Amino acid sequence: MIKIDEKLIKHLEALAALELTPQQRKSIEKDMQEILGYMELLNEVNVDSIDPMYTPIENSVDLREDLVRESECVDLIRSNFPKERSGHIVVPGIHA
Amino acid sequence: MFEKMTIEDCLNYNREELITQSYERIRSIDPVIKGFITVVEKPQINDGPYRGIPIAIKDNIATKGIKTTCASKILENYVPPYDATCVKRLKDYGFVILGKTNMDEFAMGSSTERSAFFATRNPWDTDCVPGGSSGGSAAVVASGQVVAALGSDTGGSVRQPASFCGVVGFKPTYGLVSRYGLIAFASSLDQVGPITKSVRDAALMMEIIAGKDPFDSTTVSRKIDFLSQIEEDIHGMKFAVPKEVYEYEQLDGEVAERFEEVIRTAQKLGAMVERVKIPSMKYAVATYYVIAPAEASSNLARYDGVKYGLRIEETGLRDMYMKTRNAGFGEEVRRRIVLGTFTLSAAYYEAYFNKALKVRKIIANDINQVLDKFDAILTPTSPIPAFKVGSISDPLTYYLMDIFTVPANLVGIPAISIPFGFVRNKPIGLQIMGKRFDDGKVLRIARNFEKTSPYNDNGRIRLPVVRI
Repeated sequence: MIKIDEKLIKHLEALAALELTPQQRKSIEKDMQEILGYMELLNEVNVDSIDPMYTPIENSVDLREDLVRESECVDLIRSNFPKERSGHIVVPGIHA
Repeated sequence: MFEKMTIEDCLNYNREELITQSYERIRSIDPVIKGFITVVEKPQINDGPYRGIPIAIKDNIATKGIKTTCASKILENYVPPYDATCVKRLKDYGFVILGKTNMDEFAMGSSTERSAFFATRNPWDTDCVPGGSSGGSAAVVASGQVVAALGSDTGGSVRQPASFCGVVGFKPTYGLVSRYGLIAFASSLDQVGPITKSVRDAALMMEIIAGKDPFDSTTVSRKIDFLSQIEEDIHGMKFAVPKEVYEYEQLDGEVAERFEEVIRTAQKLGAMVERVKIPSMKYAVATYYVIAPAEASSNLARYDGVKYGLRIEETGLRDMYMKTRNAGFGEEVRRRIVLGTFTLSAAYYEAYFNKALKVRKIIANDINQVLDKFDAILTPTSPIPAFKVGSISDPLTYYLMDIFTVPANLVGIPAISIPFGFVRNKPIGLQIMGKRFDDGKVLRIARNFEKTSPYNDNGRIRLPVVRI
């Protein structure tokens, strides 16, 4: 059974862009160990020659035509921007 | 009395008064129940056959111009620029949205205690939880603040709170109701469903919200008849009861007794009940808790503080992401993001995520085979009745309670919870699962139980007297 440690959690934090406090990290480490322990149950199941099931939809789906259309709600979208300058979203520098 | 009225009752009532009465009820009861995150002050009233009938919408379903928070700090001030398709359809028929209901943050939970804002109370016993994650919707319907509500069901989040609050909760076949505007949790499992005071009301809402939507490619164009055969009997039908129900250690003894009464009622209605083995059912919870957090970790990557929602200002972009996400997500959401990131990570994808998808296929095969021979599968909705607020803290204990509800989401089949009796003065639910697209049949079976249940009054479910 896999051992969950601080190093692994920190790696997952980096992948998920989620910074935990040391206390949160400790608590998730413990919970993950317990939850993954329970998931060992799945090792009992023989899945040879079984295809993975991604969705209950069996047939291929219809996509709508890729057409440009006018959005009616530009102002409402803009009003949700956390920081705005003349209609553009402002974000901190990537290399800062 | 407004608080006991169904949608059908409202049709023969002065519509102008309904909204006023709903507001009065909200003002007097909701300070105790705490079902609403937002109460709409000036509701939009459209013409239509259901004009003026007040309903509530779970706060993870987008409502144009009305705050939609997902009970999360990360979306605390988010105002959607559009209506979810299901919301738009209800409004087009005249339904009036009076408020947005509390839930477990991002629908991750079974008690509504995991809302970032406050816990909702069960109208039958205000020391207890209403269930979850659509606990606010179930509580405001049961306590008669609105006539009906929408919830969302990823692993039981419509059915389990309906069971805890003694109302009807229906999860449709995956693909019948558009998910456009439903804030995504686990896209292959999520489905919007009605919470109502009668089975007929659930069918009636389905008639409106189901249907092909160009904005959700997983919706199907198949026409389903939810209502026209609902009053027909179920004489000669065959029901399966999984033996695994009785093998489940945490099954409450009195819940098991009520369930025996369900079986006797089915026989009285002329149906045949047989116990069957569905061995893969015992893997459903483990499978679900690999797949749902994996899909969630991917879906929740969009909350980065850039375009909408909370932002914690930092000097660098990456620092802003990290700080924003930690401040914005609550404990359970963080836990599931980390868990899902783990099962999807390159080193563990095969052993966990892909394995779970294969077990999902086995569960689907087993359940579909049973449903080829039987008209429906019956189980209790939840192994236990509503529990006290704050009494369960261990995440795994929470997850295991979903044992009877997660299979329907994994397989994509319709499932309903209807009230059937009480355990220690709290309502419990009967779950009926049917074949994919047999939604009409599931509702018809439910209606037969509703008409015959010894716990109902002339076929009407009992509603709580809320003590203020």
